[in-house]
Formats: sequence, structure tokens, C-alpha cells
Amino acid sequence: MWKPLTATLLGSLLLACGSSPSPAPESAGEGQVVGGNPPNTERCSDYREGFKNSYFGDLHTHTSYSLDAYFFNALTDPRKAHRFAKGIAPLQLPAQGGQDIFTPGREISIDRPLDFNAVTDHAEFLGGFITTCDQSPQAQQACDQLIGQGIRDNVRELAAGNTPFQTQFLQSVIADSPTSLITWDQTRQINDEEYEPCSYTTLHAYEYTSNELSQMLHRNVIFKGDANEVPIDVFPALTPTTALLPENGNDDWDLFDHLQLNCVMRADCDVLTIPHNPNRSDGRMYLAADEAAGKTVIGDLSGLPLGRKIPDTDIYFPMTQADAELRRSLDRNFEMTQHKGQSECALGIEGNYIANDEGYDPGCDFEVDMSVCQGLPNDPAACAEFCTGNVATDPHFCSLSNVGINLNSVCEFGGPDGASRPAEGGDSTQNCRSPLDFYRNAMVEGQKIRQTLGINPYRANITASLDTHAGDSGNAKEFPFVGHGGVLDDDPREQLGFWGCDNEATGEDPRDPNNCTNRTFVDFARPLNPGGLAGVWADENKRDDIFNAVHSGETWGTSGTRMRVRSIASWQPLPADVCERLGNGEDLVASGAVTEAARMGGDLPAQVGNAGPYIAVWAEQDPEGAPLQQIDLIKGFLNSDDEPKVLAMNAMVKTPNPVSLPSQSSCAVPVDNHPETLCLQWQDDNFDASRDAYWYPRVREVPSCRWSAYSCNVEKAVDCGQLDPNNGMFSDASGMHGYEGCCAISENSGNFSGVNRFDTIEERAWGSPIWYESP
Amino acid sequence: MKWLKDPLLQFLLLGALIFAVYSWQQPAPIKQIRVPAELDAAAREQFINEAVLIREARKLGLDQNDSIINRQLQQKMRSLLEAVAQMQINDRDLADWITRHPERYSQSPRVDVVHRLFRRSQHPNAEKAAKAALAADVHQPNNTETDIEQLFNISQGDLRKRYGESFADAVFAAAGPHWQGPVSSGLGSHIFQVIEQHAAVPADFEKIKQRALTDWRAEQETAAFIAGLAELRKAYELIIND
Repeated sequence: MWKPLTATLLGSLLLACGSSPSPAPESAGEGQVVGGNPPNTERCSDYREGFKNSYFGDLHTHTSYSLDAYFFNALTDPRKAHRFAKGIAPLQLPAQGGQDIFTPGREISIDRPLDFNAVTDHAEFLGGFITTCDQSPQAQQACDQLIGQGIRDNVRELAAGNTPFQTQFLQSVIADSPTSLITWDQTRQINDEEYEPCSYTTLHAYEYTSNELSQMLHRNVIFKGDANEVPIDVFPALTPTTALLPENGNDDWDLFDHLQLNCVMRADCDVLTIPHNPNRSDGRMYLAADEAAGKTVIGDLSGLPLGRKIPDTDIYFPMTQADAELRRSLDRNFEMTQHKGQSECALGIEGNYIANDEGYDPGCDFEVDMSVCQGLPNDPAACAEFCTGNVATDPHFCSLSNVGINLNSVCEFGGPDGASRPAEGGDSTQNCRSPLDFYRNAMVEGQKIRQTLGINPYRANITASLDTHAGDSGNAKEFPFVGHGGVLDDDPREQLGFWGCDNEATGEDPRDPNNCTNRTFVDFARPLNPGGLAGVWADENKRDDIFNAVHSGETWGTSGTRMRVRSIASWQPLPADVCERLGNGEDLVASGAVTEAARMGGDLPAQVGNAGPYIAVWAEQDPEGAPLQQIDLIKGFLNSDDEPKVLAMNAMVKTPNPVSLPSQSSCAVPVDNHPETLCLQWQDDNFDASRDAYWYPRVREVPSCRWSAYSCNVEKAVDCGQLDPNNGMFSDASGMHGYEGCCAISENSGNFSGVNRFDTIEERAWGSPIWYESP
Repeated sequence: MKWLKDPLLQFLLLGALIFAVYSWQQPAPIKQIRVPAELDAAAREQFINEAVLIREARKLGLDQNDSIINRQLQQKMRSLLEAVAQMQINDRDLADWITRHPERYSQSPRVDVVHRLFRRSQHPNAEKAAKAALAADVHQPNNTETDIEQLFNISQGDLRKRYGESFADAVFAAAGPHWQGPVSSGLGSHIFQVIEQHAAVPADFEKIKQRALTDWRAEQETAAFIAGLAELRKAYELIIND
């Protein structure tokens, strides 16, 4: 394997600091200036002493430098992604509905530029295909036929984490490719060239993509500083033995060790990691305390999760304190939502963690990417509450139908090396969903581990991002949704789903139910969504400030909307005007206006007095989006029996007005005088200072259309009554062929009929928690 | 069959027959392949085989409708058309070019603006309240209302990020130093006064020279390609297939 040698100095093309040269304005009207001093010449023009500004960005973008994204859209590169995100150049995409990944067919532009962006191409075979295939059209064609088509054909399996052996073998063969060095060098050079301090920050980053044994164990690796402060190579999860000896028991430790040695321990280098898609990790990303998962353990596992393993064996050690600290020091932030669904919580996968009396949190019905609500009698009880059979209004995941792909069972237990398995029987080759695949349960499980180890290894704050594989950083709006993977899902048929047969290559036809083996409706990209954005509170829009904000957790994640959220907690009563001051960016902790306090993402100090903490949460809607509906507060804590519990306190404050759905024909959202700002001021009177706790806000907009509702109702006024009763498809003449996924289709002895679905969502934001760690 | 008796036709048919027999007896005309002298025996074999296969493939029309060849031809034409583009430019002309693209290289125009936001959550009818305030002149600086905000040196893009497109557009379209509005945004209703407008600030030439040069060259190539393609297209008549 290529091991990193040194973080040697590379010629940096860093642009000199572009701070505003404008003179400081006169102090006229100073009394009314929210935010204090005007800028000095060393500072960006939006700098305000003692105040922070809010910035929006994306920390997860793939371009054609990624081994998979190249075959979805070979037209992008990091520079194009940055220029798209800056709003200075449209992005070229392949023609909609085609398979030609090499020829531009249309252009898109971002509506509002981003403030910061991290292009995170896969470290595995970084730049390998673009380097070798883009030599000539012949090479492109050969690559596309030999490799690309296979990847595209198997993408659903790949996305589910089921990598076919031949793909794994190919990955192993190319694992040691030297192309990554060259491409990483180019990436860093582009990042530095596109960095414009005060207006657009680029961060050096890549993705570490461990995908073995159907378990997604993915992290984005984000560096501080300029190109010459960043290691000269990337660290891939693939090794030459990956295909033959798949194991992931040490994959996270390998990454952490590497970063520790090659960055943290070096002068001028700093790095953090952002886990993503634990919702597809099958109980691998966050391991439970006391859970051996069938492994041989050397030592005492009580109160501890599995830690490192002896390579090539099934023998594990319990997690050590040093390793817990290592993980905690790097996993600083968490990607709450993205194209492949949200990882906060999911209906039916609460396990024993949920403390709500109902046994579920109704706020967990949002963008569930893989559902356990299969419509079976033994579904988790929560499913029946949300999948009521009203096809017009049930959440979209109630109608997912591809068992094993987007419908799974709850895990009996999680574990590394593919050890997880469904509770309803089955074996480790089958995917399953674990409560610990979701943020709030994992964070509180970490509190339980802290009781034994003295540190919560899982603790991380919150952002969200896209994970686009088409280079369109920050393009998170619901409509038009250009898809997750370039040509894979850029047209309505692919996005909404379609009828398919097993053997279409040999002449079977989905139009003819009598000539179609295993005729089924393939949901394809229907569970995906346009992803989220990261929000940060920082002094200025510069590299160090943005990195530090993500590192310290004064951050929030949104489902794509530009809602702003800020919170604070203290043992002392908060000032009466705390909401306003949070909103205008004042740093209440630094100024001493609030003492014995924690910013969002930070720790409360030792308890003062005997009462619980005072918490304030301020939220403001996207000025170009929908009004606010409510603020929920989620509390994670260890109960008196030391059991990890999560309590969802929904609608702690909410709009005073009745909430209605958007227009089904236009998707217009009625404002109805719902508030543009909400603020929660609350004291936790059910607090036990001898137990750890966290509190994070979840802020919801009033309902608006999901992307699929825009496609079905605005882009096209789909009428499901026109489905052909013989096959449940629209005729070509109807102009609606390809939009079958807009309909809930049922079959009655060969007679198909359909009812229009209407998918609505409550766009939302999740603020980083306030943390309390007991003495 | 009277026409068969035509002597001219008989002459032509006879001639054709003789030509056919002659052709059949003669081997096909020998075609030449020029082989570079420096090739060794193996390379020469390879070269000859390639040449023969390519020529015969062309003769059979195998190069028609081949997507690889078509793409290669397009790329070659594109390179050919782009090649006429000017690639050198002196500093003075580049600086000129930069000034003609202020949106790319200059700091965008900015304003100092005071505005008052009547939030929907605080005013049952925000627009009415904004209008009333505008009429009653209660927005002056000595007002203690907290939702008065003064923003210095802010660009249209940054104003949009903060308060939405409608407000940003209104502020940058505003004429005169008086209070104006109301403009509604997602947050409520705004009235505002533009205190000062700052023109775009030209970029520091040395700082952006390299980036501008790269952009200028790309622009020259694109322009040359577009012009060349337009010229070529003049020779074609379009027929739309039904």
C-alpha cells in the first residue's frame, strides 16, 4: 500500500487574503447598528467584534474525480463544482434521460451561492478513471463499456452496500493506483485557487469509503488550512485484499491512526472527520455496549463496545479509553441528512431508546431512506400510526416496496465484519436497521459507554450536506431535483420509479405482464432526496473560522432550506432578550452576558445550584422559504437505571395558527401568518446532575411539497386515472409515461388502477446539542 | 424488342461485355502502402496490417455511424476551430479585458443601508405597519425599535442571502436617499433608506492576472469555436424529418 510519507511543502497557489479594502464607515446611526463595530481593514466587511455571522455551505460533494461519479457524469471536476457553488458559472450535465456521460446536454445554476464548500471525492482510486479514461474518446468508450455500465447496472445493489465480487475484485486490483497522488494534488491546487476569503471558503477534503460486507462505514475527512498544510496523499479504505478477505472491524481505527500520525501529530496540520449514512451501516457505525455480536472478545466487555480486532481473525478487544479519545477527537461533526436520507431517527427503529409514552416520535417520519414498515403484521407498532393506508397522504416511505433494497427489518444486533442480522430470522448477508444507526440513539449510547470509560466516544455535533455525485454542490432545493447520481437518476422515470422485469435484456417487456418475469415496481431513486446544507456561526468566512466552527459545533444542519438556528444554555436564568441576541449573532458567552453557560455544540460547566439548565433556542425561517411551524427539543439522557433514553419533546413552541397542506396543484405554501421566527425559552425541571444529558433542537417548517410532489403535480399534472388497466402504465400518447411512480398502483386480478400520491414534508433544521457530562 | 436492333445500343452492350471479361481476367489494381523505412520487421508487419484493415474498413463504410469515430471527429474539429484563437495578450489588453468583466473580477457594487423589518410574528399585518411607519416618519435614527438595522458595505448577493431576493433587488434598484418601501420578504415587510452606494471596486491586477489569463484564453477558444461552427453551418440547409 501507498503509505503517506510526509506532509511535505507543496507549492501553494493560495490567493492572498481578499479582505475588504473599503474604509470603515462613519459612526452615524451607530446606536441602531445591530452588531456593533464596522469592519476594520484587516477584517472582512461583515466582521463584527463580539458577534458571529451565519454561513451556509456543503461539506459533501463528488465530482468526476470519484471512481463512481465519473461513470455517472464525467463532465465535472472540483473547479466546476466550486464555480457552480459560487454562482459564477452554470454546471453542465449530461442530457436528461440519456446514458452518455461524456457529452453536455443541459446546464443548471445555483439559486443562491454557498459561503463555503468542501469537495469530498472518494479516496479510493481517487481520480483513477478520469486519469486513465479521459485520454481519448476510445479510452472513454472502453472504460464506459467495461466498467461504467456494470457500475450503473448494479448501482442499487452498490448503494445498499452489496458490492458484487467482480466490482470488489476490480477495486482491489486498482487499490494501489498512483493516480490518487496526482489527483489529490490537483484537487488541493484547485481548492486554493478557488478560495476567496470573506466570500467563498473552500476546505480540503476527501471521503473515506469503507463499504465492505454490506455495511456503510463512510466518513468525510476535512482539513484545516491551505494546501501546503494538508497531507500529500489520501487514505483509501480499499486495499488489495479487500475483495478476497473483506473485513471492516479495524477500518475506522485504521483511518483514525492514519490521520493522527499524518496530520494531528504534525505541526500546522489539523483535521476532523464527519461520519455519514449510519442509516445504511447495518449496525456497524456505532456499536452497542456489551454487544459481542458473536465475536471472541479478549477482556471484559461490560459497559464497553467492541474495539479493535486482531486482523484476519474474529477476535476483538473491548474499546479502550485511548481509542475512545481518538475517535472523539476526530469525529467532531455528524451529517444529519443527505441524498440518501436522514440519520436522526426513523419510525419503527427506536428500539428501547425512546422514552416517549407512545413508543415513537412522530417527528421521525421525515426522509426515511430505508424503511422497516413493510406492511406486514409484525411491523413495529409505530408503522401503523403513519402508514395508515391513505395513499394520498402517507409519508413516501410507506409505499416503498423493494424488500432487501429499501425495505428491511430491524437488526437483532449490530456488529462489525457484517455480523449484524435481522431479528426476524435471516443471516448476516441480509441488511437490517439498528437503532444505533441513528444519531440520537448513538449519542446516548456513548453516554452509557462513558460511565465505564470516562469518555463518550461517539459524541459529535450536527451539520448536513448533499452527497451529490454530479458536482452540484449546495443544490439542495426540492425542485427541480437533478438526482443523486448523474445519468442514473436524472429523469422522472428513474427518480419516481418504474415497472421492471427480470430479463428485459432478453426481450421481456414491462408493458406486457404476461411476458415479464417477476414484474415489479422498482422504486429506484424514489427514496432519495435533494439533501441538506450545513450552517455555521463564525466570525468571518475564512478557512480557519469555518473549520473551527465545524470543529467546535456551533453548527446546524438543514434539510436544504436556509433556516437559521442558534441555541444557548446556562445554569442562570437567561436575559429576557436572549432570543433577539442569539439571532443577531451576539456571542453571549464571550461577552459574559450569559455566564456558567454553553454555546450550541458545547459543554455546560459543572452544575451551579440544584435546578436544571435554562435553554434558549432561536430559529428564523429561510427568507425565500416557508414559515416556521414548531421547535422540538430532543433530550438524550441516562435514566436512573443507567439506561440510555431519548425523549422527543415536540412542539415546545409552535405557530399559533392552524397548519394546512400546500396546494396540490401548484405546491404553493400558504403563509397564513405563521411566524418567521420562533424562540424557545425553557428550563429542564426533570434534570439529574449525576447523569449525562444532551438537548438538541429540531425546527420544522409548515408542510411543503416533497420533490416528488413537484414532479407529479407541478412539472406534470399527472392523472393516475389514466393508467392503462392492463399494465398499470401510462401510454406514450398520454404524455405521462415515466411518471407511474406518482401513483399508488393496485392490481385486482390483472386489472391495474392508481391513485395520485401527494408527498409532503416538513423541511427542518437540527441544531448541535448542548452537552452535559456529569462529574 | 425492336430497340435491341439499335446499333448504338449494340455497340455499348458489346463494349460493356468486353470490359467485364477484361476486368474479370485482370487482378484488382494494386494499392500502395508507404512504409516508413526505419521500422523493424515486426513493426513493419504491424503497420501494414493496420493500414490494410483501416483502408478496407473505410471502403466498407465501417467508419460510418460509429459513435467513437464521430466523437473523435467532433473533438478534432473543435480543436481545429479553436486553434485560430489568439492565445497571447499583453498586460494592458488583459487589464482592459478585466475591466470589461467587472462581475467576475471586481468587488461587486455595495451599499450602506438602514432598514426596518416589520416581522410577521410581531405585526398581525406587517405591510400595513410598515406603511404606517413610513407615513408617520417613525423610522428615524432616534427610534428605539430594535428591528432597525444598519448594514455597511453589503453586496446584493449577501443581502439576498440574509433577507431574500425581493428585498435585495429593491435595495439595489432604489434611487434617492429617502426612506422607501415597503418591500415584502419571507420574514415580513421592510422599509429602508440607502445611505450610500459604493461602486464596484476594480480588482488588483497582479492578484488576479493568472486567473484572468486562464479565463481569457478559454473565452477566446470558445468564441473561435462558436464563430467557426456558425461559419460552417452556413453551408447547410436544414430539412426537418417528419
